[in-house]
Amino acid sequence: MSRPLVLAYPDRFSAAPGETVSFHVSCEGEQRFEAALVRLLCGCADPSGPGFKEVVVDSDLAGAYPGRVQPIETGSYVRIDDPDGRLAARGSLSLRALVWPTLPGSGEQVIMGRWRADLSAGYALMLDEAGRLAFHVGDGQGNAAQAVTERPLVQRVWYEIEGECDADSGFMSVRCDPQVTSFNSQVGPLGAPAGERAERAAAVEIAAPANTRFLLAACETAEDGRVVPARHFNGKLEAPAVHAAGAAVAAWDFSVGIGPEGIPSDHVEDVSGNGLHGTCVNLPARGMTGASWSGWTDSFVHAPSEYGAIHFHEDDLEDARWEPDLAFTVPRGMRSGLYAVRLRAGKAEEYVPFVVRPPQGTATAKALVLLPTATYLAYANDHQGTDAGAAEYLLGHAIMLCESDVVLAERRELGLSMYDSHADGSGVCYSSRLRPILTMRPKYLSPIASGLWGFNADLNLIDWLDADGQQFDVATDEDLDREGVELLEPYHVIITGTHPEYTSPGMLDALEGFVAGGGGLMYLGGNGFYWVTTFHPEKPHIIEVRRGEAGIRAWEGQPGEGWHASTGRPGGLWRYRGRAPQKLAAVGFAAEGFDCSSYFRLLPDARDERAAWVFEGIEGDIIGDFGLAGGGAAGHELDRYELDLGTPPQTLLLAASEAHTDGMLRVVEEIPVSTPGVGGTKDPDVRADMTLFTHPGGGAVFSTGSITWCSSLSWNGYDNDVARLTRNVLERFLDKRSLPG
Amino acid sequence: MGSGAESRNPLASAEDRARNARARFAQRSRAEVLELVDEELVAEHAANPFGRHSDRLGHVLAHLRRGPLAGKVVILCDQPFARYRLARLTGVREERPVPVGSEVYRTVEEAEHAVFRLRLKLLREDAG
Repeated sequence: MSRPLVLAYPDRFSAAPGETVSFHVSCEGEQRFEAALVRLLCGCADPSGPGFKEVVVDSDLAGAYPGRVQPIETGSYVRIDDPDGRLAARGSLSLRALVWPTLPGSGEQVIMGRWRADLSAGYALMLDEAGRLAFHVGDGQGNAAQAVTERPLVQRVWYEIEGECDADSGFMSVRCDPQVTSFNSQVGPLGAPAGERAERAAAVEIAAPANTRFLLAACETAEDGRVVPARHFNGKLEAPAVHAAGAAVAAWDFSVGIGPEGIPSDHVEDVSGNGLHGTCVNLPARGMTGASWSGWTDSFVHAPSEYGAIHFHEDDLEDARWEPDLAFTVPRGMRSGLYAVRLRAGKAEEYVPFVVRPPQGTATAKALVLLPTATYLAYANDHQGTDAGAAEYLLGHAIMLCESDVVLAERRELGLSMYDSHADGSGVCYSSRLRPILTMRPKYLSPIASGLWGFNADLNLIDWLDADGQQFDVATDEDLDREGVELLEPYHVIITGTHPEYTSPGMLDALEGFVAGGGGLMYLGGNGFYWVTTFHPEKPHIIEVRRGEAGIRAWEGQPGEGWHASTGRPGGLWRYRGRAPQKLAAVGFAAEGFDCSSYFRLLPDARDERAAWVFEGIEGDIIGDFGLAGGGAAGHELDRYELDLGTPPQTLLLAASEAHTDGMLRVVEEIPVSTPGVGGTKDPDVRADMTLFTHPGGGAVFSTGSITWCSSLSWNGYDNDVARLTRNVLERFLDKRSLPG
Repeated sequence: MGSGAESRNPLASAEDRARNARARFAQRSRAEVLELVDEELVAEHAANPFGRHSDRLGHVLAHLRRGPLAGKVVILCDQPFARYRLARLTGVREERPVPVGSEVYRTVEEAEHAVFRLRLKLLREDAG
């Protein structure tokens, strides 16, 4: 029997009293699992800190449940709706398309067809195991034939391809003709491969089981008694069409539907007039450059016909589609906070975090913790420890892998993060919360900085607020994107997490409006408000990010593919939309380094009478030379005050971090010319700035500009200057009347 | 943050002549780095495996940390804050890291230094 493993996900990240969260569980190696509801506090067992802390909460949900294994089908494709069997050809037919293959030679990949791979039944145009173009036909009775080119297709080159069989002549053929321009492929015309045609005699009838579906970018096969999609195509596909007897049976135009708001849809249009429309499954990337891309436009909005391609990946995943196993309806009066369903089966353990919000339209505290769930999604199940060769060089220490990282390495069906590349090397631009997310768990220690990161680092904030007796509500990025500033208005203070890197336009508008309306924002993180992020308008469980030509980016998109298909707007850094983080938070991303953390030293503004209250009870000039993340409150990623990038001129620069190593490096968007000396020992702009500014409307923003700040809060039994300073600011902001003028 | 993919495409480097130039660089760099290694340097790392290193140790570490994903030495954490081992990545997706030796380390600092010593040993072996 395999090692016990329990994995699960909720159908939503937050719920208010009266709302129900369902939990979808897969349990391997054990017959039953035990469930309990817990309130999460500290998620880290580090003996230097308070240790792991959770509070079991009585609930109807507690108890034993039968376990079962639930599979995940990864890989994107298009399913064609063909109720009349128009695509169930038996005689002559022709399949045509434009393709830009990205993994030829990595196994059989079906480009299009009505094909049962296990039976060799039907017809399909595909890449064979060697990456050669092949046209297969078969009757499912052991009679099959194929025409195959001699040489494999070359990756990232546009080809026009065709597979044809003629019942009258008894011949079948396949051909590929490169369509290389100076812009559209990995190589230009000078490096273009040659075309090819192959032909063979074949007296085989085409037949497949009646329920066989016609798919684009995959085919069907039987596995464990189920018919499932398989043999996924990796690469871009454009304008696939089926012809019979000289007439189009179907012709799909992927650019139909592109409008000013992008193409936030799974619908694929058949333009033949036969109504054989399709539906995308597992969210392949739309709005991608096609064979006719001219090189002179960056957006499908401006030239839809140049963006007629969809990029399919064998490891795309929109939704694990597991059945629910248990559900929890938030009872009236339940305290807002961060909770989890804890699942145990034998030695296996799983936590499924979710947020309980106050009743709709109300607040049950003056402070709100805004849990950066968009950032959790961007990093969801990241494989940087096992897939990224440069990771150790960046981190400045050896990669440390825990069991969760090994599970993620082995089980690719759990899907990728936006820090990963697909198997074909292309970047991941969508992330879904409808799957188990092992990196968003208490106890998870990330290979990044060998420990506290993201969700588990944010628990240090939750734990300190609880230990300090502070009252607070919790909401998520997704909530804020959907509800806007109205969600924030009942509060006096909004507190961010340690790394709210991914921000939607709606979130920024809401936070800016909240401060302008007199609210207090405590930005207790680093590298916040950095990437233009979209919550998919039709699929709230999905975020989209396009990484362009600037910023600290794990991958770089193809030329012309930097706009969000789900909005029709450009992606990339907020900085390059004219909305640098400094405009909201006074500080913005300046440097990153993960070898060790450092401390802040007070600057003259700390003695300004407008800010002296921040430092009440604090002696000396040094703050935070301790902590659970690298040994200091200034570390991992640092943000800097910068008037040129929009820091409000009235901002006070209270303190700055110092004594960083050369492992702490200036961010690439600030290095227009390659120069030496961009590390912490030589570059004066490699630092975290602690800032405070007020707004004439009564609002105020306090920023620490460091990811590790919150991981110092619990030091010395919560009795330390980082905690003291954070409390000073929180309590001052909570009392709106005393906000500094 | 972002640490970058190993390669745009596993097939892209199949006929990549640049590997010859990189191999030549590694050979020259290896010799230079080995000249910098002595007992004092190893002791500096043992005393402080994370951060704030001398320029000389930083130079050596920069060389040791480069290299392909396949074969990269990593730390496996069996029990957080209590039990660590060394392993090597295979460089193949879906494959578990392969344990290296049977030594168990009580702290991540000890494991980090063990990685350093192992890499120096491998570097000397590569240099012949």
